[in-house]
Amino acid sequence: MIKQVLIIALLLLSLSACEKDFVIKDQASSSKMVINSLFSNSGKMNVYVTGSYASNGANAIHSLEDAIVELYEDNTFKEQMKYLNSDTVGTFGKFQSSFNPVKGKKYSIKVTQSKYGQVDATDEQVMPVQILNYFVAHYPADSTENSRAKMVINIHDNGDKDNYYKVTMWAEEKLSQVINAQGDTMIYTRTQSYKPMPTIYLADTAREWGWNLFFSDNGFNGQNKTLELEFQNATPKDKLISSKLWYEIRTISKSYYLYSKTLELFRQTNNTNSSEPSYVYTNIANGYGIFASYNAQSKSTVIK
Amino acid sequence: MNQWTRIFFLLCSVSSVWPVFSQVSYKLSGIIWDKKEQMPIQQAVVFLPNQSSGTLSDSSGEFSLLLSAGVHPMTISYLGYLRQNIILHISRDTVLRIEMESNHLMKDVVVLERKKEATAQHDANGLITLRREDINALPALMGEHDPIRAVQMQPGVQSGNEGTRGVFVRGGSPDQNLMLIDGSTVYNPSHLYGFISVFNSDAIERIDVHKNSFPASFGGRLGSVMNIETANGHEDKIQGSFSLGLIASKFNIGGPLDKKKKTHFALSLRGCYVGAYTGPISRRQFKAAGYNGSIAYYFGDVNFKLVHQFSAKDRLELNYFTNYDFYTFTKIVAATSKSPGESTVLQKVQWANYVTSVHWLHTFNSRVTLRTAFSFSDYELNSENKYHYAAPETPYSSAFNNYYNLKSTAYIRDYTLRSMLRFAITKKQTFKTGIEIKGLFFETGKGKEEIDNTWNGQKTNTIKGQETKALETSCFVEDEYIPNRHWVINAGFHFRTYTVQQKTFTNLLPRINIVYSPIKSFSLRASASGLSQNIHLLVASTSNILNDYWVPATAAAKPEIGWNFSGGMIHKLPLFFEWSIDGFYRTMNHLIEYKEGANYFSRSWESQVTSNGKGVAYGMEVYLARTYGRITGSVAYTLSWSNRKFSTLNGGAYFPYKYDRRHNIAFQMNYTISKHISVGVSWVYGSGNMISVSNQSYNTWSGVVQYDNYVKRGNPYPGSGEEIALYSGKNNYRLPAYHHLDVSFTYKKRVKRNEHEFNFSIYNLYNRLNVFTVYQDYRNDSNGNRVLVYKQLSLFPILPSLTYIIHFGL
Repeated sequence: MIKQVLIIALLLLSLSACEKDFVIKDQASSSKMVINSLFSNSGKMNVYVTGSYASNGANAIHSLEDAIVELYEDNTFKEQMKYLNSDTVGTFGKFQSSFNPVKGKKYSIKVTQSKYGQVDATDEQVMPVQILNYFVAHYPADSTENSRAKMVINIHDNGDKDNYYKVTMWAEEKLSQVINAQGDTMIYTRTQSYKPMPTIYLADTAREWGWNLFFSDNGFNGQNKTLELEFQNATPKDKLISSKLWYEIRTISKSYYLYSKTLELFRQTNNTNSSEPSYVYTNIANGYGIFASYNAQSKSTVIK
Repeated sequence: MNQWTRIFFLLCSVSSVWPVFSQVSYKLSGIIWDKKEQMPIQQAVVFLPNQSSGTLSDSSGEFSLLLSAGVHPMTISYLGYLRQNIILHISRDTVLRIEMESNHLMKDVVVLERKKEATAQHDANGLITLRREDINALPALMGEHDPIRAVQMQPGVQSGNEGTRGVFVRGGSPDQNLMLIDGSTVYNPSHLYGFISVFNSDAIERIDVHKNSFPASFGGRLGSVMNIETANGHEDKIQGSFSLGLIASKFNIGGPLDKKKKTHFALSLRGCYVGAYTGPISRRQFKAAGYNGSIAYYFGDVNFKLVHQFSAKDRLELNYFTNYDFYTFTKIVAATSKSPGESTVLQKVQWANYVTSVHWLHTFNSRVTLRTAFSFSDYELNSENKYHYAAPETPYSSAFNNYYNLKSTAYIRDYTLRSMLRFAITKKQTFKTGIEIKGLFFETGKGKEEIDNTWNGQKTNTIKGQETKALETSCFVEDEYIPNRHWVINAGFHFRTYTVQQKTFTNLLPRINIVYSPIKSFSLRASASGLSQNIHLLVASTSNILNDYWVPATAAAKPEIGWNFSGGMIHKLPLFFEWSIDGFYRTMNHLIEYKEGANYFSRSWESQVTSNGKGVAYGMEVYLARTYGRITGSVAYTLSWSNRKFSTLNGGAYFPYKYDRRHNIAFQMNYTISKHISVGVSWVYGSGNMISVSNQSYNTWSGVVQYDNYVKRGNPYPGSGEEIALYSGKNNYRLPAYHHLDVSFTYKKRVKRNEHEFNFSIYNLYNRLNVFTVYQDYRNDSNGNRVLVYKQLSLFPILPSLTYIIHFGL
């Protein structure tokens, strides 16, 4: 009898000790303007203007089409950027300049909107890195930890400032596949991404999606540098006919670097029940997001 | 935290009956006073010639003894004073005030007897002393009078929220409190994840809490020292008690072992077998949910003390303390027609403290004593997580087997040799010096992984843990000088070295405490203490519980050092009232914290932390108490700030510490209605802990484009894509305040030589749902959008408990 009474009491108590929604009250920060712009001298500058929203609600992304986006070049007003109101995918909240940024010039934007006030940001259009030469040092048929493919790139670092770089590698492969018992074959192509792994010390390294490589010129500022980048090339079951190996080396601004590095950490740890929160870098004054420049150069070599 | 874990905690929290038996003996306590100077006399010898035993008065002139009822001759002596001979008639707990004169003429001893005080004693030096009766005056939780809860009623000492371990002193973390039991370190003071301490109130004689000033004889922590002295066995005869409750039992026995009464022992056992209930109940619940399984939880603790008086000058003590907690969770999901495999999940967690020490006390003469001790302290945490899934071959699939078992171990061990010499140079000056050598051994993440699956076959991996060995040495000199009735000056140096990973850290830590009493009832105090500690606590900022992690100082994560400045006053008022105000300012250096994005469950903690942090805590405390009368009680209020700063966190700016508590109030009152009936009430209030919560979100460029992509195609975006959660700062949100009201009613009746006591108490009378943890979750709203929500888990609603206590052999 006592045991039954106890069990009933326990169950009743378990109901009153409850799990319930927890309302975050009096949040310190309110909605702010969000700027997304990664620009280069190879195209017109695009600036995406949206608004942030409360975390504990449904995704409420909204474009700020009525914003006024003023573009300055070396502190001189150049133009008011136009909002691209079209049915084309990718124009949501998108403002565009009428010209390409110029290498070495400083660009600023001032974005004003009736509800959000004004935000501003500045970054300099970075200079390209000088690629002296490049070659594939090793490309085994069967790449393993002990026998990785290797790309060597010699660059000259621009010595007038601290530079940051991003390297991406991929291959366009042509393969043949046996499609029937008679031995008929089919030729097809595919794109394969590679993870560059430096064999030498590089400072301030970071990754993008755990893959592409970031580093700084710390240690070789203004000097030539040989980048030895190993990668595990694919070992397809089908016969490899040829491979066109690509790499892209981007010179990126410091803001671009900091944004990418912190964004990567955020991607890896965005389960805050098991990890500390991480904070994504922003250079938007009075807002969120990023306004940063890069310069990209792509090179390729064919391996047969 | 799943439903079953929650129920498990609730089961543990409910005890209708938890009998508590207290020692059957009377306590004689007192203070020895210089009649002319009106100052306490320390190191005075209190001797019981019939028992060939006795004690010394402490720095406050106080002493205590356990005596049986009857007549006891007693002598009190001290260099320069006349020996006093007293005949005591003991029939109840007694407090003596003994005034001694320093001339050579025999004077009558003035004995003022009164009932003992029922609240903690706060002395002019800032030392807080709690005795067993102070602890038992509080309303019980689960029928248990927890010593640590009694400490948490003191100003500047805070409890965590439900589920947080240890105590929090003046903006510090739990690791910054040195918990000593008979001089040996206790690393984990908690049963049940912090709901009950490992200290059995039956086994405790007194607790001294140092938080204002730190005598040079103590070291190794930044925040406070809690020195627990266990009770000796009864002087004259073997006495004991036994209780049998529904979920726990206690057994106490103690007394002399020989006819000459030179050897005494005390043994206290406590066992909790709540698992006997949680097992069948959870099995039934699991079955109702469609699978098999159970949850069980057990804990126990043992206190043992053996004292042998070789001669009037030599005394040997052996102390042993251990506690053991064991938790298991089993879940078996049987095969069904849709799922041919059977899965088994087994979790076992076991943690324990093992503390043992041997003390030799040698009295050279009435002025010089030497205490030497060797101790061993071990805290171990072992866990096993087993998963097995097995499916037979079917027409649609081949046989499949997947077995995984991970056993892991972590421990902290120390071997310590210490010796302390006390020399009463004159009646106004006492000198102490000592040395301590400690070997420390830390092991984290060690384990074994057993794998057996269809893909890879059988495999066993030994996981090499992170083992750290360290050597800690310290020495100190301390001098207490009492030039006259107005001044007390205690000053000294504590020197510590810590060698780890071929690197040695040294710290010379000055200490000073000055007390000025312009009148007898009023004292001003000021102190400064240099402090260091060789252990860190990593605390998670996103959730509220269970992720706090102890790690040793290493070459990279240097020992913490800091300063504690404190000043205040205490004023004894008429009608047994007293009040005090204290202010404090603490600095902390070489702190560590999880770095941004750190994984709490990483095996390599050093890769997850950022070091060389700074901390500052400051605030004030107000305390008001009535220490004697039919109504006694106290109220303590603390206003404090605790902030930390790391160059790599929060943009390099100060941020509030997780345990920053702006306001803390502790109130307790006892009302003796009649000889048989008394009522107790306590209320605690504390600002909530600080955690990091996301308050705004935005989309990256790819997120914007993806959104656009869906919108243009007429497909409402459900919230995927790259969305960044924004935090306005580290520890940017304060959880709701923690508070609860507890009451107790006690009825006592003496029948012949036994006293029966019934205690009915209610914990959390107004059913406050305090935050146990807050965590992130997602759910779909009415439009199908994925929405981030925060969930709160609360435990311990209103909890009544009934306790039956028998005191026998009176």
